[in-house]
Parts: sequence; structure tokens; C-alpha cells
Amino acid sequence: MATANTNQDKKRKFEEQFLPLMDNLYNIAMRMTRNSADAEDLVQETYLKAFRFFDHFQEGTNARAWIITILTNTFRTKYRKYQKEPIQVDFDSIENFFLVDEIKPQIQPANKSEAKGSEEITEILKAYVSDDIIKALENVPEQFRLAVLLSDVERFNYQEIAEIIGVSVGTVKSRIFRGRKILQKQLLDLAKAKGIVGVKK
Amino acid sequence: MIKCEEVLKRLNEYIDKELDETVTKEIMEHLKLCKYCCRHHDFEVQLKELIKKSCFDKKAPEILKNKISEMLGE
Repeated sequence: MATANTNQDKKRKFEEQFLPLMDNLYNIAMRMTRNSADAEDLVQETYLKAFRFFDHFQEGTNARAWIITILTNTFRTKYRKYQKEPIQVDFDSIENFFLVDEIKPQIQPANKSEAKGSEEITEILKAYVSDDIIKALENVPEQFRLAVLLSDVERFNYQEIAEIIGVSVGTVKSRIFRGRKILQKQLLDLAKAKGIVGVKK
Repeated sequence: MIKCEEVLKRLNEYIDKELDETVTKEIMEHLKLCKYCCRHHDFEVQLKELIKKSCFDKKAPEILKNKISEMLGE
């Protein structure tokens, strides 16, 4: 009877801490696998592993970081095929690439001198809908995409991301830098293809 | 004063609050005075927000929640 209670306790504690994080996991899984069937499998397997290893979770430490680490590792082992996607990025050409230098707002502010800088930027970015951003991000090679997601969406700091992925802080910094550059390149290509923003000559 | 080139190179870390206090202050002062860098800064900040908003748009499907609950119940 005591064992049954302990098991119930364990389950309850696990559920309290980790079930509220399911939307976070699902969204990362969606971006990494790029389809809902695989994303669901990945999240399910992550929960299964997390529950199995729950005894190893240190109470009071970051539950979100802990379970996202499991998801990341599961993704890597389960979806090795994704890792094999060739990374064809000319890093020299993106080093000094800034999307903001390449596009201009669709609607020019009536009075340029009065237009605030941040409003002009908002106007530029209005050209992109959520699906555009997702599409561009999904074209970013996996290792860079993951670093950008963990920073921009989950708002982990570089040290936390380094621990989650299992690389150095320097590597995280470089992956985020490059990931964002590749994303911006993708967004420019998208803008050109759709003719959605005024692309500068 | 810190140069534009240097500011743009470190903009990611600045926005992510990964720089030490001294460099952060230097960049902050530069941004107050330099419209060019400020524009880049605003763009990166807004794009980061847009990425968060775009990528955190879904709720886990009910069927998945049920599957996981079942799995934990076993």
C-alpha cells in the first residue's frame, strides 16, 4: 500500500511540474521535425523518458531546461536523418548581411522626418506573417535552428543553451549568430519570391 | 567611442543580455547617438519578438495530452 501511494505521489509531482510545459515542447518539436505526426511522437517519447528518469531530476532546478534537454537528445537519436541534411551555407557571405539593409517598408511614412525608427521597422516586418517566419526558420539547418529557438522562443541564456545542447557557450554564441543570419537570408529570399516587401536594389 | 562595426557585431549578444556591464553601457551610449545602429537594434529586437510569437503559436493537441496521460497512468 505504501508503495502504491509513493507511486501516486511520484506521478502527481511529475504531472504538476511537467504537464504544463507540453505546449512548449510541442512547439519546439514542431519546428524541429517540421510535421505534426513526428512532433507528437517526439513529445510523447520525451515524456516517457522524463518520467522514467524522474528520480534523477533535482527538485528546485529548472524543470523546463531539464525536459527540453531530454527532448533535444531524443530528437538527435531518433531523427538522425535530419542531421544528415547538408549544410550549404557560405558563412563569409552572411557575416555582414543585415536584412534591415535590404528591404524597405511597403508604405513609406508620409512625413519621413516625423516617422519614428521603430515604427518604420514595424512597417517592414508587417510584410511577414507567422507562416513566413516559420517557413524561413524551418529552412535553417537543424543545429542553428535549435539554438535560435532556445534563445528566441524559450528565452534561455547562452549558458543554459550550452548545457541543453551539450556544447560550449562559444559554440552557442556562434550558432545563434549564424542561425539568425541564415534566417534573415531566408526571409529576404521569401520577400523576393513573394514580392511582399520593397526590396532595395 | 565604440565603432558601428563593433556594435553590429555584438548586437546579438547585446539584445540577449550576454555582455558584461562595461560593454553593455558602451553600446547603450552608442545607440543613443547613432541612428544607423539604432535602426539595426530595433529591427533585431522586433524580429526576435516576431519569432517568438510565430513559433509559439500552437497548443499541444488534445489527443496527445490524452495519450501522455494514459501512458503515465499505466
